[in-house]
Amino acid sequence: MAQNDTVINGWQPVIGLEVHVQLLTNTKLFSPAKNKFGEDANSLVDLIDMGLPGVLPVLNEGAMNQGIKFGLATSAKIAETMIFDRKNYFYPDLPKGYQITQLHYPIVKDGIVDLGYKKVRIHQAHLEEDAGKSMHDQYDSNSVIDLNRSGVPLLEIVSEPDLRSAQEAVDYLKKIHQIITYLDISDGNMSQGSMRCDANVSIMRPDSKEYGTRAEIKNINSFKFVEKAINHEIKRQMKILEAGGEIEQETRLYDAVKDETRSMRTKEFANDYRYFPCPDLVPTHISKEQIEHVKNTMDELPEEKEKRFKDQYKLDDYDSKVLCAEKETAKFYEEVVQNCDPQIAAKWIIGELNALLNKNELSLADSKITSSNFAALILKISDGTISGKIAKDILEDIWESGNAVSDIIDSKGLKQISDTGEIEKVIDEILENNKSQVEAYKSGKDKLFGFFVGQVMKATQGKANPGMVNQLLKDKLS
Amino acid sequence: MDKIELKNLLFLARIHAEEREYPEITKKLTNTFNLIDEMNNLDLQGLEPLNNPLELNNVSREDEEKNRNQKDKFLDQSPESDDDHFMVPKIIE
Repeated sequence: MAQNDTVINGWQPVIGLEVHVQLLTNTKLFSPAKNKFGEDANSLVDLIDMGLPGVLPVLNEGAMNQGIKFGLATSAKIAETMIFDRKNYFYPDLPKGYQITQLHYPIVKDGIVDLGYKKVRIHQAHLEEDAGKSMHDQYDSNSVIDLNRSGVPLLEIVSEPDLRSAQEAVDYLKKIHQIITYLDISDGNMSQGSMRCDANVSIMRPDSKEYGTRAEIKNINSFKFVEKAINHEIKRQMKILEAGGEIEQETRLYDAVKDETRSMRTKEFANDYRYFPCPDLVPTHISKEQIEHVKNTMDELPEEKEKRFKDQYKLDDYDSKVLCAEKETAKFYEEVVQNCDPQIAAKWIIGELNALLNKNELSLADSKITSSNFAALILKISDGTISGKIAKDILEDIWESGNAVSDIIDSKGLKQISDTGEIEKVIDEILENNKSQVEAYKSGKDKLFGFFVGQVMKATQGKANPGMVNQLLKDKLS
Repeated sequence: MDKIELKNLLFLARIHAEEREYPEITKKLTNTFNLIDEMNNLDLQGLEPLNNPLELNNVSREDEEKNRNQKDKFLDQSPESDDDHFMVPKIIE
Protein backbone atom coordinates (compact mmCIF):
# COMPACT_ATOMS: atom_id res chain seq x y z
CA MET A 1 0.00 0.00 0.00
CA ALA A 2 1.44 3.35 -0.97
CA GLN A 3 1.75 6.00 1.72
CA ASN A 4 -0.33 8.66 -0.01
CA ASP A 5 -3.33 6.32 -0.18
CA THR A 6 -3.73 6.69 3.54
CA VAL A 7 -4.76 10.35 3.54
CA ILE A 8 -8.52 10.67 4.15
CA ASN A 9 -10.26 13.91 3.19
CA GLY A 10 -7.03 15.83 3.65
CA TRP A 11 -6.15 14.21 6.98
CA GLN A 12 -3.23 11.86 7.65
CA PRO A 13 -3.91 9.36 10.43
CA VAL A 14 -0.96 8.54 12.68
CA ILE A 15 -1.20 5.35 14.73
CA GLY A 16 0.95 3.54 17.24
CA LEU A 17 0.02 0.26 18.90
CA GLU A 18 0.73 -1.14 22.34
CA VAL A 19 0.32 -4.89 22.25
CA HIS A 20 0.18 -6.90 25.47
CA VAL A 21 1.17 -10.50 25.01
CA GLN A 22 0.71 -13.13 27.72
CA LEU A 23 3.79 -15.31 27.75
CA LEU A 24 3.53 -19.10 27.57
CA THR A 25 5.53 -19.89 30.67
CA ASN A 26 4.85 -22.63 33.20
CA THR A 27 4.85 -20.17 36.06
CA LYS A 28 4.26 -16.52 36.80
CA LEU A 29 6.75 -13.70 36.32
CA PHE A 30 7.80 -13.46 39.95
CA SER A 31 6.15 -16.42 41.67
CA PRO A 32 6.24 -20.19 41.16
CA ALA A 33 2.45 -20.44 40.85
CA LYS A 34 1.14 -22.02 37.68
CA ASN A 35 0.40 -19.82 34.68
CA LYS A 36 -2.75 -21.24 33.12
CA PHE A 37 -6.01 -19.93 31.71
CA GLY A 38 -9.41 -21.23 32.74
CA GLU A 39 -8.65 -22.94 36.08
CA ASP A 40 -10.74 -22.68 39.26
CA ALA A 41 -10.82 -19.10 40.51
CA ASN A 42 -8.03 -18.23 42.94
CA SER A 43 -6.49 -21.71 42.74
CA LEU A 44 -3.26 -20.54 41.08
CA VAL A 45 -2.21 -18.02 43.65
CA ASP A 46 1.05 -17.84 45.54
CA LEU A 47 1.89 -15.75 48.60
CA ILE A 48 3.77 -13.46 46.22
CA ASP A 49 0.72 -12.95 43.99
CA MET A 50 -1.31 -12.12 47.07
CA GLY A 51 1.10 -9.31 47.81
CA LEU A 52 1.50 -10.44 51.39
CA PRO A 53 4.01 -8.52 53.49
CA GLY A 54 7.54 -9.87 53.62
CA VAL A 55 7.50 -11.89 50.39
CA LEU A 56 10.10 -11.28 47.71
CA PRO A 57 9.63 -11.59 43.95
CA VAL A 58 12.11 -13.85 42.11
CA LEU A 59 12.38 -13.41 38.35
CA ASN A 60 11.31 -16.27 36.09
CA GLU A 61 14.16 -17.12 33.70
CA GLY A 62 11.73 -18.58 31.16
CA ALA A 63 9.89 -15.27 30.82
CA MET A 64 13.19 -13.44 30.45
CA ASN A 65 14.31 -15.82 27.69
CA GLN A 66 11.03 -15.37 25.83
CA GLY A 67 11.55 -11.61 25.90
CA ILE A 68 15.04 -12.12 24.50
CA LYS A 69 13.59 -14.32 21.74
CA PHE A 70 11.21 -11.58 20.69
CA GLY A 71 14.09 -9.10 20.62
CA LEU A 72 16.18 -11.40 18.44
CA ALA A 73 13.27 -12.02 16.07
CA THR A 74 12.77 -8.27 15.53
CA SER A 75 16.49 -7.41 15.15
CA ALA A 76 16.26 -5.35 18.32
CA LYS A 77 18.75 -4.38 20.99
CA ILE A 78 18.65 -6.70 23.99
CA ALA A 79 19.40 -4.86 27.22
CA GLU A 80 22.73 -5.57 28.89
CA THR A 81 21.04 -4.45 32.08
CA MET A 82 17.30 -4.30 32.56
CA ILE A 83 15.59 -2.74 35.52
CA PHE A 84 12.17 -3.35 36.99
CA ASP A 85 10.09 -0.43 38.20
CA ARG A 86 6.99 -0.10 40.28
CA LYS A 87 3.96 1.51 38.73
CA ASN A 88 1.74 2.55 41.62
CA TYR A 89 -2.03 2.60 41.56
CA PHE A 90 -4.85 1.27 43.67
CA TYR A 91 -7.30 -1.19 42.24
CA PRO A 92 -8.81 -4.27 43.89
CA ASP A 93 -7.34 -6.71 41.36
CA LEU A 94 -3.82 -5.44 42.12
CA PRO A 95 -3.12 -6.67 45.64
CA LYS A 96 0.33 -5.10 46.02
CA GLY A 97 -0.85 -1.62 45.07
CA TYR A 98 1.74 -1.55 42.30
CA GLN A 99 2.53 -3.40 39.12
CA ILE A 100 6.12 -4.46 38.52
CA THR A 101 7.04 -3.32 35.01
CA GLN A 102 9.98 -1.82 33.12
CA LEU A 103 10.00 1.87 32.24
CA HIS A 104 13.45 3.21 31.31
CA TYR A 105 15.47 0.02 30.97
CA PRO A 106 13.26 -2.49 29.16
CA ILE A 107 14.49 -5.90 28.04
CA VAL A 108 14.10 -5.01 24.33
CA LYS A 109 14.62 -1.73 22.47
CA ASP A 110 14.63 -0.49 18.88
CA GLY A 111 13.25 -3.44 16.92
CA ILE A 112 11.88 -3.68 13.40
CA VAL A 113 8.75 -5.46 12.19
CA ASP A 114 8.67 -5.89 8.43
CA LEU A 115 5.19 -5.79 6.87
CA GLY A 116 6.57 -6.41 3.39
CA TYR A 117 5.46 -3.01 2.09
CA LYS A 118 6.82 -1.07 5.05
CA LYS A 119 9.02 -1.45 8.09
CA VAL A 120 7.48 -0.53 11.44
CA ARG A 121 9.81 0.43 14.26
CA ILE A 122 9.39 -1.13 17.70
CA HIS A 123 10.12 1.48 20.33
CA GLN A 124 10.51 -1.11 23.07
CA ALA A 125 9.17 -4.32 24.53
CA HIS A 126 9.14 -4.75 28.28
CA LEU A 127 8.29 -7.41 30.82
CA GLU A 128 5.55 -6.79 33.33
CA GLU A 129 2.98 -8.55 35.49
CA ASP A 130 -0.65 -8.94 34.58
CA ALA A 131 -3.30 -7.91 37.10
CA GLY A 132 -6.01 -10.15 38.52
CA LYS A 133 -9.50 -10.23 37.10
CA SER A 134 -12.49 -8.34 38.48
CA MET A 135 -16.02 -9.48 37.75
CA HIS A 136 -19.07 -7.41 38.37
CA ASP A 137 -22.12 -9.47 37.49
CA GLN A 138 -22.39 -12.03 40.29
CA TYR A 139 -23.65 -9.75 43.04
CA ASP A 140 -25.65 -6.55 43.19
CA SER A 141 -23.47 -4.66 45.59
CA ASN A 142 -20.12 -6.40 45.24
CA SER A 143 -17.50 -7.11 42.65
CA VAL A 144 -15.46 -10.29 42.96
CA ILE A 145 -11.76 -10.84 42.35
CA ASP A 146 -9.93 -13.81 40.84
CA LEU A 147 -6.18 -13.58 41.27
CA ASN A 148 -5.20 -16.49 38.97
CA ARG A 149 -4.04 -13.98 36.37
CA SER A 150 -2.26 -11.85 38.92
CA GLY A 151 1.46 -11.99 38.16
CA VAL A 152 1.17 -13.74 34.80
CA PRO A 153 4.09 -12.55 32.64
CA LEU A 154 3.29 -10.06 29.91
CA LEU A 155 5.47 -8.67 27.18
CA GLU A 156 4.22 -5.23 26.22
CA ILE A 157 5.31 -4.39 22.70
CA VAL A 158 5.23 -0.67 21.95
CA SER A 159 5.50 0.49 18.35
CA GLU A 160 6.63 3.89 17.15
CA PRO A 161 3.79 5.95 15.60
CA ASP A 162 4.70 4.57 12.18
CA LEU A 163 1.30 3.25 11.11
CA ARG A 164 -0.81 5.40 8.80
CA SER A 165 -4.13 3.58 8.43
CA ALA A 166 -6.38 1.11 10.22
CA GLN A 167 -5.39 -1.49 7.62
CA GLU A 168 -1.69 -1.00 8.37
CA ALA A 169 -2.47 -1.40 12.07
CA VAL A 170 -4.24 -4.71 11.35
CA ASP A 171 -1.33 -5.91 9.20
CA TYR A 172 1.11 -4.99 11.96
CA LEU A 173 -0.95 -6.76 14.61
CA LYS A 174 -1.20 -9.88 12.45
CA LYS A 175 2.56 -9.81 11.96
CA ILE A 176 3.14 -9.55 15.73
CA HIS A 177 0.72 -12.45 16.16
CA GLN A 178 2.66 -14.47 13.61
CA ILE A 179 6.01 -13.72 15.28
CA ILE A 180 4.91 -14.60 18.81
CA THR A 181 3.21 -17.82 17.74
CA TYR A 182 6.21 -18.85 15.62
CA LEU A 183 8.46 -18.20 18.60
CA ASP A 184 6.08 -20.20 20.83
CA ILE A 185 6.20 -17.42 23.39
CA SER A 186 2.41 -16.93 23.39
CA ASP A 187 -0.68 -18.61 22.03
CA GLY A 188 -1.79 -15.17 20.80
CA ASN A 189 -5.41 -15.97 21.53
CA MET A 190 -7.17 -12.60 21.39
CA SER A 191 -10.57 -13.86 22.53
CA GLN A 192 -9.05 -15.32 25.72
CA GLY A 193 -7.07 -12.14 26.28
CA SER A 194 -3.60 -13.59 25.76
CA MET A 195 -3.04 -10.87 23.17
CA ARG A 196 -4.56 -7.44 23.81
CA CYS A 197 -4.14 -4.20 22.02
CA ASP A 198 -4.37 -0.47 22.76
CA ALA A 199 -4.15 2.02 19.91
CA ASN A 200 -2.84 5.59 20.01
CA VAL A 201 -4.59 7.50 17.27
CA SER A 202 -4.14 11.07 16.05
CA ILE A 203 -4.63 12.89 12.76
CA MET A 204 -2.73 15.75 11.10
CA ARG A 205 -2.51 17.60 7.82
CA PRO A 206 -0.20 15.66 5.46
CA ASP A 207 2.30 18.55 5.25
CA SER A 208 2.33 19.09 9.03
CA LYS A 209 5.60 18.61 10.90
CA GLU A 210 3.91 17.89 14.20
CA TYR A 211 1.61 15.07 15.17
CA GLY A 212 -1.85 15.97 16.39
CA THR A 213 -3.08 15.33 19.93
CA ARG A 214 -3.72 11.63 20.35
CA ALA A 215 -6.39 9.59 22.01
CA GLU A 216 -5.64 6.16 23.40
CA ILE A 217 -8.22 3.49 22.64
CA LYS A 218 -8.32 0.56 25.01
CA ASN A 219 -10.06 -2.77 25.07
CA ILE A 220 -9.57 -3.92 21.50
CA ASN A 221 -9.78 -7.69 21.47
CA SER A 222 -9.97 -8.86 17.87
CA PHE A 223 -8.32 -8.08 14.53
CA LYS A 224 -11.65 -6.91 13.17
CA PHE A 225 -12.22 -4.52 16.04
CA VAL A 226 -8.77 -2.97 15.64
CA GLU A 227 -9.76 -1.84 12.18
CA LYS A 228 -13.23 -0.68 13.19
CA ALA A 229 -12.15 1.08 16.38
CA ILE A 230 -9.35 3.00 14.63
CA ASN A 231 -11.50 4.00 11.68
CA HIS A 232 -14.19 5.14 14.03
CA GLU A 233 -11.71 7.19 16.05
CA ILE A 234 -10.22 8.81 12.92
CA LYS A 235 -13.70 9.91 11.84
CA ARG A 236 -14.52 11.25 15.28
CA GLN A 237 -11.35 13.35 15.37
CA MET A 238 -11.89 14.64 11.82
CA LYS A 239 -15.36 15.81 12.76
CA ILE A 240 -14.10 17.69 15.82
CA LEU A 241 -11.17 19.36 14.05
CA GLU A 242 -13.22 20.34 11.01
CA ALA A 243 -15.75 22.00 13.28
CA GLY A 244 -12.90 24.05 14.73
CA GLY A 245 -12.64 22.06 17.94
CA GLU A 246 -9.67 20.52 19.73
CA ILE A 247 -8.86 16.91 20.48
CA GLU A 248 -8.56 16.12 24.14
CA GLN A 249 -5.71 13.82 25.14
CA GLU A 250 -7.61 11.05 26.84
CA THR A 251 -8.26 7.36 27.13
CA ARG A 252 -11.25 6.02 25.26
CA LEU A 253 -12.90 2.64 25.44
CA TYR A 254 -13.97 0.77 22.33
CA ASP A 255 -17.49 -0.62 22.50
CA ALA A 256 -17.78 -3.40 19.93
CA VAL A 257 -21.54 -3.69 20.25
CA LYS A 258 -22.25 -0.05 19.48
CA ASP A 259 -19.13 0.28 17.29
CA GLU A 260 -18.03 3.48 18.97
CA THR A 261 -15.32 4.75 21.27
CA ARG A 262 -16.27 6.67 24.35
CA SER A 263 -14.37 8.56 26.94
CA MET A 264 -13.53 6.58 30.05
CA ARG A 265 -14.76 8.20 33.23
CA THR A 266 -12.90 11.47 33.45
CA LYS A 267 -10.70 11.21 36.47
CA GLU A 268 -10.73 14.02 38.94
CA PHE A 269 -6.98 13.76 39.18
CA ALA A 270 -4.58 13.03 36.42
CA ASN A 271 -2.97 9.59 36.54
CA ASP A 272 0.20 9.73 38.50
CA TYR A 273 1.82 6.34 38.68
CA ARG A 274 4.88 7.51 40.62
CA TYR A 275 7.25 5.08 38.95
CA PHE A 276 10.42 4.20 40.81
CA PRO A 277 12.93 1.33 40.58
CA CYS A 278 11.61 -1.70 42.43
CA PRO A 279 13.82 -2.06 45.49
CA ASP A 280 13.01 -5.79 45.72
CA LEU A 281 14.75 -6.49 42.43
CA VAL A 282 18.29 -5.33 41.78
CA PRO A 283 19.34 -4.65 38.15
CA THR A 284 19.33 -7.78 35.99
CA HIS A 285 22.28 -8.31 33.66
CA ILE A 286 21.83 -10.28 30.48
CA SER A 287 25.04 -11.89 29.28
CA LYS A 288 26.08 -12.49 25.69
CA GLU A 289 26.19 -16.20 26.55
CA GLN A 290 22.56 -16.17 27.64
CA ILE A 291 21.51 -14.42 24.43
CA GLU A 292 23.54 -16.89 22.39
CA HIS A 293 21.94 -19.78 24.26
CA VAL A 294 18.44 -18.45 23.54
CA LYS A 295 19.34 -17.90 19.90
CA ASN A 296 20.31 -21.56 19.59
CA THR A 297 16.94 -22.72 20.89
CA MET A 298 14.96 -20.56 18.47
CA ASP A 299 12.80 -22.07 15.76
CA GLU A 300 12.77 -20.89 12.17
CA LEU A 301 11.04 -17.54 11.66
CA PRO A 302 8.27 -17.04 9.07
CA GLU A 303 10.49 -15.40 6.43
CA GLU A 304 13.14 -18.10 6.76
CA LYS A 305 10.51 -20.80 6.45
CA GLU A 306 8.94 -19.18 3.38
CA LYS A 307 12.31 -19.05 1.68
CA ARG A 308 13.08 -22.67 2.53
CA PHE A 309 9.66 -23.81 1.30
CA LYS A 310 10.30 -22.11 -2.04
CA ASP A 311 13.69 -23.78 -2.41
CA GLN A 312 12.90 -27.18 -0.98
CA TYR A 313 9.39 -27.78 -2.35
CA LYS A 314 9.60 -25.58 -5.44
CA LEU A 315 6.63 -23.46 -4.41
CA ASP A 316 5.91 -19.97 -5.71
CA ASP A 317 5.90 -16.83 -3.52
CA TYR A 318 2.17 -16.89 -2.93
CA ASP A 319 1.88 -20.55 -1.95
CA SER A 320 4.80 -20.47 0.45
CA LYS A 321 3.50 -17.27 2.04
CA VAL A 322 0.03 -18.72 2.59
CA LEU A 323 1.40 -21.99 3.95
CA CYS A 324 3.73 -20.16 6.34
CA ALA A 325 1.20 -17.57 7.50
CA GLU A 326 0.50 -19.76 10.50
CA LYS A 327 3.04 -22.03 12.09
CA GLU A 328 0.43 -24.74 12.54
CA THR A 329 -0.32 -24.85 8.80
CA ALA A 330 3.36 -24.92 7.87
CA LYS A 331 3.97 -27.81 10.26
CA PHE A 332 0.98 -29.70 8.87
CA TYR A 333 2.21 -29.15 5.32
CA GLU A 334 5.66 -30.51 6.12
CA GLU A 335 4.17 -33.60 7.72
CA VAL A 336 1.96 -34.16 4.69
CA VAL A 337 4.66 -33.80 2.05
CA GLN A 338 6.90 -36.40 3.60
CA ASN A 339 4.91 -38.93 1.64
CA CYS A 340 3.42 -37.14 -1.32
CA ASP A 341 3.75 -34.56 -4.05
CA PRO A 342 4.56 -31.14 -2.50
CA GLN A 343 2.83 -29.07 -5.15
CA ILE A 344 -0.43 -31.02 -5.19
CA ALA A 345 -0.43 -30.98 -1.38
CA ALA A 346 0.13 -27.21 -1.36
CA LYS A 347 -2.72 -26.66 -3.80
CA TRP A 348 -5.14 -28.75 -1.73
CA ILE A 349 -4.22 -27.22 1.61
CA ILE A 350 -4.44 -23.66 0.31
CA GLY A 351 -7.64 -24.31 -1.61
CA GLU A 352 -10.02 -26.93 -0.30
CA LEU A 353 -8.73 -27.46 3.23
CA ASN A 354 -8.44 -23.74 4.00
CA ALA A 355 -11.94 -23.21 2.64
CA LEU A 356 -13.30 -25.85 5.02
CA LEU A 357 -11.41 -24.39 7.97
CA ASN A 358 -12.63 -20.87 7.23
CA LYS A 359 -16.19 -21.96 6.63
CA ASN A 360 -16.33 -23.79 9.94
CA GLU A 361 -14.14 -21.28 11.78
CA LEU A 362 -11.92 -24.05 13.08
CA SER A 363 -8.19 -24.43 13.45
CA LEU A 364 -6.40 -27.50 12.09
CA ALA A 365 -5.78 -28.76 15.60
CA ASP A 366 -9.50 -28.66 16.37
CA SER A 367 -10.49 -30.40 13.14
CA LYS A 368 -10.60 -34.13 12.42
CA ILE A 369 -8.06 -33.81 9.62
CA THR A 370 -4.75 -35.49 10.38
CA SER A 371 -1.62 -35.02 8.32
CA SER A 372 -1.29 -38.74 7.56
CA ASN A 373 -4.89 -39.07 6.36
CA PHE A 374 -4.56 -35.91 4.29
CA ALA A 375 -1.34 -37.22 2.76
CA ALA A 376 -3.18 -40.44 1.89
CA LEU A 377 -5.80 -38.37 0.07
CA ILE A 378 -3.14 -36.48 -1.92
CA LEU A 379 -1.50 -39.80 -2.85
CA LYS A 380 -4.81 -41.15 -4.19
CA ILE A 381 -5.21 -38.00 -6.27
CA SER A 382 -1.70 -38.11 -7.71
CA ASP A 383 -1.76 -41.82 -8.56
CA GLY A 384 -5.10 -41.44 -10.33
CA THR A 385 -7.16 -43.62 -7.99
CA ILE A 386 -9.66 -40.80 -7.52
CA SER A 387 -10.56 -37.69 -9.48
CA GLY A 388 -10.37 -34.18 -8.07
CA LYS A 389 -14.10 -34.01 -7.72
CA ILE A 390 -14.31 -37.24 -5.76
CA ALA A 391 -11.36 -36.08 -3.68
CA LYS A 392 -13.39 -33.04 -2.62
CA ASP A 393 -16.23 -35.29 -1.49
CA ILE A 394 -13.83 -37.52 0.41
CA LEU A 395 -12.24 -34.49 2.08
CA GLU A 396 -15.65 -33.41 3.27
CA ASP A 397 -16.28 -36.92 4.51
CA ILE A 398 -13.02 -36.92 6.48
CA TRP A 399 -13.90 -33.49 7.78
CA GLU A 400 -17.12 -34.87 9.25
CA SER A 401 -16.09 -38.40 10.22
CA GLY A 402 -12.31 -38.47 10.52
CA ASN A 403 -12.39 -41.89 8.76
CA ALA A 404 -9.39 -43.17 6.83
CA VAL A 405 -9.28 -42.23 3.14
CA SER A 406 -8.86 -45.82 1.94
CA ASP A 407 -11.89 -46.96 3.98
CA ILE A 408 -14.05 -44.22 2.52
CA ILE A 409 -12.98 -45.09 -1.03
CA ASP A 410 -13.71 -48.77 -0.46
CA SER A 411 -16.96 -48.41 1.39
CA LYS A 412 -18.41 -45.88 -1.02
CA GLY A 413 -16.95 -47.48 -4.14
CA LEU A 414 -15.40 -44.21 -5.16
CA LYS A 415 -12.42 -45.60 -6.93
CA GLN A 416 -11.76 -43.82 -10.19
CA ILE A 417 -12.59 -45.79 -13.31
CA SER A 418 -9.45 -45.91 -15.40
CA ASP A 419 -10.31 -49.00 -17.39
CA THR A 420 -10.57 -48.12 -21.09
CA GLY A 421 -13.12 -50.82 -21.85
CA GLU A 422 -15.39 -49.81 -19.05
CA ILE A 423 -15.35 -46.13 -19.96
CA GLU A 424 -15.85 -46.91 -23.67
CA LYS A 425 -18.93 -48.94 -22.82
CA VAL A 426 -20.47 -45.97 -21.02
CA ILE A 427 -19.54 -43.56 -23.82
CA ASP A 428 -21.05 -45.78 -26.50
CA GLU A 429 -24.28 -45.97 -24.59
CA ILE A 430 -24.48 -42.21 -24.20
CA LEU A 431 -23.70 -41.50 -27.85
CA GLU A 432 -26.36 -44.04 -28.81
CA ASN A 433 -28.98 -42.33 -26.62
CA ASN A 434 -28.14 -38.81 -27.78
CA LYS A 435 -28.01 -39.09 -31.50
CA SER A 436 -29.29 -35.61 -32.27
CA GLN A 437 -26.58 -34.02 -30.08
CA VAL A 438 -23.96 -36.12 -31.86
CA GLU A 439 -25.22 -34.80 -35.19
CA ALA A 440 -25.19 -31.23 -33.96
CA TYR A 441 -21.66 -31.63 -32.60
CA LYS A 442 -20.40 -33.07 -35.82
CA SER A 443 -21.92 -30.19 -37.76
CA GLY A 444 -19.85 -27.70 -35.75
CA LYS A 445 -21.46 -27.16 -32.34
CA ASP A 446 -18.16 -27.68 -30.44
CA LYS A 447 -19.64 -26.58 -27.18
CA LEU A 448 -21.62 -29.80 -26.94
CA PHE A 449 -18.40 -31.61 -26.05
CA GLY A 450 -18.90 -30.53 -22.45
CA PHE A 451 -22.39 -32.02 -22.53
CA PHE A 452 -21.02 -35.46 -23.42
CA VAL A 453 -18.35 -35.26 -20.71
CA GLY A 454 -21.04 -34.31 -18.22
CA GLN A 455 -23.21 -37.26 -19.24
CA VAL A 456 -20.33 -39.71 -18.84
CA MET A 457 -19.50 -38.31 -15.42
CA LYS A 458 -23.13 -38.49 -14.39
CA ALA A 459 -23.40 -42.09 -15.53
CA THR A 460 -20.25 -43.06 -13.61
CA GLN A 461 -21.09 -40.89 -10.57
CA GLY A 462 -18.01 -38.83 -11.23
CA LYS A 463 -15.69 -41.79 -11.02
CA ALA A 464 -14.47 -41.91 -14.61
CA ASN A 465 -10.93 -40.66 -15.10
CA PRO A 466 -11.55 -37.23 -16.68
CA GLY A 467 -8.42 -37.31 -18.85
CA MET A 468 -9.39 -40.65 -20.34
CA VAL A 469 -13.01 -39.58 -20.85
CA ASN A 470 -11.83 -36.55 -22.84
CA GLN A 471 -9.49 -38.58 -24.99
CA LEU A 472 -11.93 -41.42 -25.71
CA LEU A 473 -14.78 -39.01 -26.48
CA LYS A 474 -12.59 -37.09 -28.90
CA ASP A 475 -11.63 -40.31 -30.66
CA LYS A 476 -15.21 -41.50 -30.91
CA LEU A 477 -16.66 -38.19 -32.08
CA SER A 478 -14.05 -37.52 -34.74
CA MET B 1 2.58 23.56 47.86
CA ASP B 2 -1.05 24.60 47.87
CA LYS B 3 -4.08 22.87 49.30
CA ILE B 4 -5.10 21.29 45.98
CA GLU B 5 -1.70 19.69 45.51
CA LEU B 6 -1.78 18.38 49.04
CA LYS B 7 -5.25 16.92 48.57
CA ASN B 8 -4.08 15.24 45.39
CA LEU B 9 -1.11 13.67 47.18
CA LEU B 10 -3.28 12.46 50.02
CA PHE B 11 -5.65 10.92 47.53
CA LEU B 12 -2.91 9.15 45.58
CA ALA B 13 -1.48 7.71 48.79
CA ARG B 14 -4.96 6.89 50.11
CA ILE B 15 -4.15 8.73 53.32
CA HIS B 16 -6.83 10.51 55.26
CA ALA B 17 -5.99 13.76 57.04
CA GLU B 18 -8.16 16.33 58.76
CA GLU B 19 -8.12 19.80 57.38
CA ARG B 20 -6.58 21.15 60.62
CA GLU B 21 -3.59 18.87 60.04
CA TYR B 22 -2.88 20.38 56.62
CA PRO B 23 -0.55 23.20 57.72
CA GLU B 24 1.70 20.80 59.64
CA ILE B 25 1.83 18.26 56.77
CA THR B 26 2.44 21.04 54.26
CA LYS B 27 5.36 22.32 56.31
CA LYS B 28 7.00 18.88 56.52
CA LEU B 29 6.45 18.09 52.89
CA THR B 30 7.77 21.46 51.79
CA ASN B 31 11.02 20.63 53.57
CA THR B 32 11.23 17.38 51.66
CA PHE B 33 10.45 19.07 48.36
CA ASN B 34 13.14 21.65 49.02
CA LEU B 35 15.65 18.87 49.45
CA ILE B 36 14.53 17.30 46.17
CA ASP B 37 14.81 20.72 44.49
CA GLU B 38 18.38 20.96 45.70
CA MET B 39 19.14 17.60 44.09
CA ASN B 40 17.36 18.62 40.92
CA ASN B 41 19.68 21.62 40.65
CA LEU B 42 22.84 19.50 40.66
CA ASP B 43 24.62 19.14 37.32
CA LEU B 44 24.32 15.41 36.63
CA GLN B 45 25.01 15.46 32.93
CA GLY B 46 26.79 12.38 31.71
CA LEU B 47 26.11 10.45 34.90
CA GLU B 48 24.27 7.13 34.83
CA PRO B 49 21.38 7.16 37.29
CA LEU B 50 21.95 4.91 40.28
CA ASN B 51 19.11 2.44 40.15
CA ASN B 52 20.22 0.45 43.12
CA PRO B 53 23.04 1.02 45.58
CA LEU B 54 23.82 -2.70 45.72
CA GLU B 55 26.27 -3.84 43.08
CA LEU B 56 24.62 -7.18 42.68
CA ASN B 57 23.15 -9.03 39.75
CA ASN B 58 19.54 -10.00 40.24
CA VAL B 59 18.90 -13.68 40.85
CA SER B 60 16.41 -15.60 38.76
CA ARG B 61 14.79 -19.00 39.03
CA GLU B 62 13.97 -21.75 36.58
CA ASP B 63 10.47 -21.78 35.17
CA GLU B 64 9.28 -24.62 37.39
CA GLU B 65 5.96 -24.78 39.14
CA LYS B 66 5.78 -25.02 42.92
CA ASN B 67 2.25 -25.14 44.14
CA ARG B 68 1.98 -23.12 47.29
CA ASN B 69 -1.67 -22.39 46.75
CA GLN B 70 -3.67 -21.96 49.94
CA LYS B 71 -6.89 -20.76 48.45
CA ASP B 72 -9.09 -21.34 51.48
CA LYS B 73 -6.63 -19.75 53.86
CA PHE B 74 -6.26 -16.75 51.59
CA LEU B 75 -9.99 -16.31 51.21
CA ASP B 76 -10.53 -16.72 54.97
CA GLN B 77 -8.18 -13.84 55.66
CA SER B 78 -9.95 -11.40 53.42
CA PRO B 79 -12.65 -9.15 54.92
CA GLU B 80 -15.27 -10.66 52.65
CA SER B 81 -15.33 -13.66 50.31
CA ASP B 82 -17.56 -16.30 48.78
CA ASP B 83 -16.44 -19.90 48.09
CA ASP B 84 -14.18 -18.93 45.24
CA HIS B 85 -13.61 -15.20 45.21
CA PHE B 86 -12.45 -12.23 47.16
CA MET B 87 -15.36 -9.84 47.47
CA VAL B 88 -14.96 -6.10 47.29
CA PRO B 89 -17.37 -3.18 47.06
CA LYS B 90 -18.82 -2.80 43.55
CA ILE B 91 -16.09 -1.27 41.39
CA ILE B 92 -18.18 -0.07 38.49
CA GLU B 93 -21.41 1.77 38.87
